[in-house]
Amino acid sequence: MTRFRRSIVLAGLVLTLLLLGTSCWNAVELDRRALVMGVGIDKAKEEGKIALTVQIVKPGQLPTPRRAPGPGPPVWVVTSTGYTVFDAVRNFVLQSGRKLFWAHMVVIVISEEVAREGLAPVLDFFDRDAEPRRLSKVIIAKGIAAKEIMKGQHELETIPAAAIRDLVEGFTSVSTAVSVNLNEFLKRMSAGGVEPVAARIEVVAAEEREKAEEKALQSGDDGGMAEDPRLKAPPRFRVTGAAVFKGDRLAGWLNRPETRGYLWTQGKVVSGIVVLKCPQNEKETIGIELIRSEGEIKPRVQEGRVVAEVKVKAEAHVGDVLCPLDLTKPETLRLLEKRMNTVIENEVRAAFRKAQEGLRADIFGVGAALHRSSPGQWKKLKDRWDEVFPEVQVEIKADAKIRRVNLVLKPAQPK
Amino acid sequence: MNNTSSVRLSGRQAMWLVVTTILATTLIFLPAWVAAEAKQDAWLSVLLSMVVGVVTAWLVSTLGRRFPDLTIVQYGERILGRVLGKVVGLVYAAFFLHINTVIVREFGELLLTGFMPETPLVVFIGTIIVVAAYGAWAGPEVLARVNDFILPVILFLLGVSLFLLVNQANLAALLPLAEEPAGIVRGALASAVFFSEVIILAMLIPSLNLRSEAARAGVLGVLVAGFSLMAVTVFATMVFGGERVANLTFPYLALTRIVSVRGVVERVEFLALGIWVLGGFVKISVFYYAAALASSQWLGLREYRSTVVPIGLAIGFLSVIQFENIDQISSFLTTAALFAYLPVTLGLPALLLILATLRGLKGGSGTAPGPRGADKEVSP
Amino acid sequence: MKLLQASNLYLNLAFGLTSNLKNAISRYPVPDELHFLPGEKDPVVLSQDLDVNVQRLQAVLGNSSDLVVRRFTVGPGSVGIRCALAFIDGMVERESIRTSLLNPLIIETQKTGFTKGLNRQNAFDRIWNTAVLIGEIKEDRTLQDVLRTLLAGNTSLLVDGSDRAISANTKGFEVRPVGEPMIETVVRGPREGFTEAIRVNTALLRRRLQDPNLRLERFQVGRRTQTGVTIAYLQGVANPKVVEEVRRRVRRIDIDGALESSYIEELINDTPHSIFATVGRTERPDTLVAKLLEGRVGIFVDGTPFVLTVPHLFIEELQSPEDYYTNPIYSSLIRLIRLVAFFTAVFLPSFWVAVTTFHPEFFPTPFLLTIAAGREGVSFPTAVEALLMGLIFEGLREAGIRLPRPVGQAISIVGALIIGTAAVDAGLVTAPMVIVVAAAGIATFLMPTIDVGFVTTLLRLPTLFLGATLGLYGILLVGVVIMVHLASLRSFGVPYLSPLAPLSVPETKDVLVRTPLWSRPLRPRVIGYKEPRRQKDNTLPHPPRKVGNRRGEKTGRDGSP
Repeated sequence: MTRFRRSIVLAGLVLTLLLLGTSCWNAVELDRRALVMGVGIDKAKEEGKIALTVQIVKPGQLPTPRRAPGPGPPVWVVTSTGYTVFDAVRNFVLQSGRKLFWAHMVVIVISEEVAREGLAPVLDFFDRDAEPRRLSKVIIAKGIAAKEIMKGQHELETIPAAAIRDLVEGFTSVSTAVSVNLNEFLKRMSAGGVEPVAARIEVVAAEEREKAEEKALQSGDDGGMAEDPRLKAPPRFRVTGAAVFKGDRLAGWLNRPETRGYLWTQGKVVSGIVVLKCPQNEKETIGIELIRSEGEIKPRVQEGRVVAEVKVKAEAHVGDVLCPLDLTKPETLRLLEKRMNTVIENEVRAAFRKAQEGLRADIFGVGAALHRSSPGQWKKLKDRWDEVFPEVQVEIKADAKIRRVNLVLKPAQPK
Repeated sequence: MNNTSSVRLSGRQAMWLVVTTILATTLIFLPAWVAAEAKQDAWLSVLLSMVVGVVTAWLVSTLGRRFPDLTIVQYGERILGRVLGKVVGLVYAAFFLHINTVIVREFGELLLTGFMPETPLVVFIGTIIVVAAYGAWAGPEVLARVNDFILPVILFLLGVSLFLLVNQANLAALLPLAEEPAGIVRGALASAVFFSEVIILAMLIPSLNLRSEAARAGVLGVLVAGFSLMAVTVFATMVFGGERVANLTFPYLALTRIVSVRGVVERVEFLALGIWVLGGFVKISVFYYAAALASSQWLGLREYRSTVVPIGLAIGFLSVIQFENIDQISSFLTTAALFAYLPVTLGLPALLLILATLRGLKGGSGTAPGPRGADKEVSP
Repeated sequence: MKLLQASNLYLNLAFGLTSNLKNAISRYPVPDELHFLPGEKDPVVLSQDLDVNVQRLQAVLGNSSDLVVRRFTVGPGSVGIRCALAFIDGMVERESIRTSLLNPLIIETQKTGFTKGLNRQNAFDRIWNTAVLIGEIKEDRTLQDVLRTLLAGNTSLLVDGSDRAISANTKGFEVRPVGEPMIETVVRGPREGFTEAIRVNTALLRRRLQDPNLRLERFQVGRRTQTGVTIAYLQGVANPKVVEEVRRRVRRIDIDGALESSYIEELINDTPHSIFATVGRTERPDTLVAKLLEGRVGIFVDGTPFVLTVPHLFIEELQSPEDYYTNPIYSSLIRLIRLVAFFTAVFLPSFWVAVTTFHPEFFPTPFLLTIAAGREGVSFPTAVEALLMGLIFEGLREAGIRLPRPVGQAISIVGALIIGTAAVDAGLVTAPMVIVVAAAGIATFLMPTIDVGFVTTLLRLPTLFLGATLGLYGILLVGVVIMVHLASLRSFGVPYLSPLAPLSVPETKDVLVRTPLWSRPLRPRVIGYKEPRRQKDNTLPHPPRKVGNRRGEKTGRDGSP
């Protein structure tokens, strides 16, 4: 008994000494960590190397209630290169002095160039390491280096990477862009019968800058150009459309209507505006606000061909009416619903056309749905699904319901 | 529990101990191993392999009814005779010791990979063994009481974490149902070892105040643990998809890391940490106690506590040198363990039961140390 | 085995010091039994000669200045018997000595009836029977008895020619009046608290518990202090084994003095090595009654207002008498808050240190950014910060208690100013750390008993240490060790954590929550299992049930239309 007690005491002493002597393997004070908020991935100039650009928070520059923010932007944008992502990550220490801390990273922006060569090797670090979260958004930069995106700033948010995340998540109010996190991307990538998509980011400000430059050239007033604050302003970004992958390689893009067509099939249209033409006057329009939707793909094999039946249900409000339309009549609403069905069907058809003919990538998960409903058929088809998918026949059934017209029955008209 | 001084385990406590022992560490990684074989039908495999646990529980409790005051080491000797019995006793002492080295190693590996990558593995192994030694030294009664706190906490944390994932779960990911029966069976075999951990009942039955409740405790314990594991597997499949679960080292940890409710409730992997450490402690202590009791009975010592220190050193040493990396553990547990552990947990008890029935052996109290040494009864 | 031997060698070196100390202690012999009179093993029988007795008495007490010996003669002149009254000045009620002893002995005995046939042989009995007007008298035969009588505040009447002495209860020393309890204060509830006088305290108990089954058993503890210890319990409700165990343990005590009930507590404890109290204490008569009604045993100690109760469970540390006097739903909420506060007090500083230094991923991003912004430019590591602030906090707290009240308030103002603003502005500590340490401190104040407050303070240090070295894993380990320790404790045979562990769901009605009285017809089974029922079933109060007819509806039972 006492012997045991003594052994326990001894063990406790040894442990205490051990802990005291070599403690804090993992303890890093907050001011010794570099918090990464976003990362951009490009190809480095050197052959075979990857360039990572990270946004690191400068806590001293953050506004706090007791202290005004310091001068300069609250983030530090650094680039590092390496043969693998992790190699590049480690090389940051040479520049930052502090170890990078990845747990709060919110966006992974990947340049088009890297995405075309395949994302699996690039994303493995973020999937494998314990620090990064699989909730980070996967975003493909179209026509611009990811580094430039990381350098951007936002007028409302202090941390630009958080602003990009908010842009991506804001897709719900228009439903013409997608929001995909690392988990969803990898899940689709590794599953059979469905291909991943990712958000697409592009520059707005660059076009504006061009316009401004043109204007300046035309007016011949080149002296004032440098002072133009808009020209000094950092590039502004827009998240719209979607990037389509085949396996882990970027196959192409969906534009806005095609994106919504894709979202209809997934039942992911949360909100958004459908613009219809007025019944009396084709030039005037009506805005319908979507409030709810359901989408379902039911594939079946019919006479040796795969037929995908797409069912979409949508509910909507009348948002704004630009023509004198009597909404008190039930026929009017029925007419509008009919037109809405046509719009939905067109969008879905456009999405399928792009995916089947242009990109040959089954982003809708027709194959996965077939696997679920008839595993036997799928077993026969899965090895040559790449050839089968473009030939899939699509049947679209849209069913829109306009639930209410909001506060006005007939729009106010001048008399 | 009919008066102030019940010095033994109630049937309910034994059941709870069984639940924690099976569930605690298993739930973190099991879905991956099962999904590797059964894909989206992993949960069916888990259901199926519960049978192994139920059978083991039945065997052990039936033996326990024949020899209510003896552990499997003691009645093994009674049934098989001195020489063969000693061999069987050694097998069990070694089994409890060895399974504990694997658990301890896993315990350290998860903490290392998931939470503190720069800390040496030895630190985790050393600290948990010291704490578990305290638990084993305190005895099954105290462990059961501690478990009375810990199991509800584990189930609560588990429930909360799964509930938070409802928004990301996709029920369709479970389809098609029962696609490949062979895969389901292979998956069930991969998880059978964990359900057969109910064998610890063979060491706990003499500490029960009502030995007749052992069967109920074992079977119910296996079922509760099994359904909880099934819930984890179902959620892992629904969130990650059958293919991807198989690639994750710690699917449950990954599940908690991905929780995101409207961007507000996030970063809840401390739930997994809590389950892992609290449950891991109970599990390691229970096996530690079983190993100490088995070895002291095999050596014919009066007090099981005298073997606590050497057993701890052995567990620590073996768990460090036995495996080179985490893949060896998972491949050991899913393949080699089938041949190493299942004969001990299923085969031997079945053999003992058959022999005992044939020879009509029964009852008798052991002179070797019982768990009663653990009670420091002061008054009433 | 080598390793074990080696370890034992080192341990022997380390523990050698203590074993030497043990040898040194055992060199002093322990007296076989309690000798009240130093140097005299056997009782000294009283002499028949009054003078001898008086001289002895004075000699033993060393002619102490407060010993009063009043010699007088009973009966007229020549036939009168010489007597002596002895008492300690200040411990007796002078009025009762005058009216009940001196007056009858000197004046009334002059009357003829008494003196007739009076001689040295029958004097003692006559005086015993007819001349002492005191309710409680007893006979002393030895010098030791007489000394006990005197030192307890009684008066001894020595009669010449008799080897016996009359001990009359004239206790009447100054006693602090029954006042409001200082520690266990309540908003609603009785305002009476125990005082230092054991007899007053037992009376306070009796008045609230007029049950013939209330048993009070007296013991004497302390070779020199002769402190009165009384155990109280309800016969038939308390577990007789527990009562017997209390008796045994109190009898076992052999110490020179017991000044406070803590002396008794430390010497009858089940868990002498634990920081957790396994003996309860209260200064409220109503609380004591409640505990006795549950089947517990109370232990009064003379000279202190704190009465011990056993068996004592951990949950009692988190209960306040107020819980039973307020709305059950409210008091349930308060109990939950207390439980949260207990964990806050023990774990919050270490949790903060662990999460900020080991696991910043657990903080929401905006929150982490705010903390990181405050952290820039602070010189100390977070763990040191926590230790420093904790020390300052504990120091201020202790200073506030020990210092005279007016100064104490000044201390708290200075403390609040220095810690609250200056330390943060000077960049010595971060603002969140101030909040964390203060929150833990406030949580300590929420503990209804002082002891559990000490426990939280004591536990904070090892948790902080492991939190700073092993992060949340370390904190969980400490939590597990505390749990195992608590689960292995017993108080007089009852598991310390019951009814939570071993879990007994019906018993938890008065643990983390408090359900209304009518929902708990039985006593807690772990304590008072002998006679479990406290009240009838269905005591749920309700308005008078209405009769079905219209008249009944109109008037009801009150008769008010």
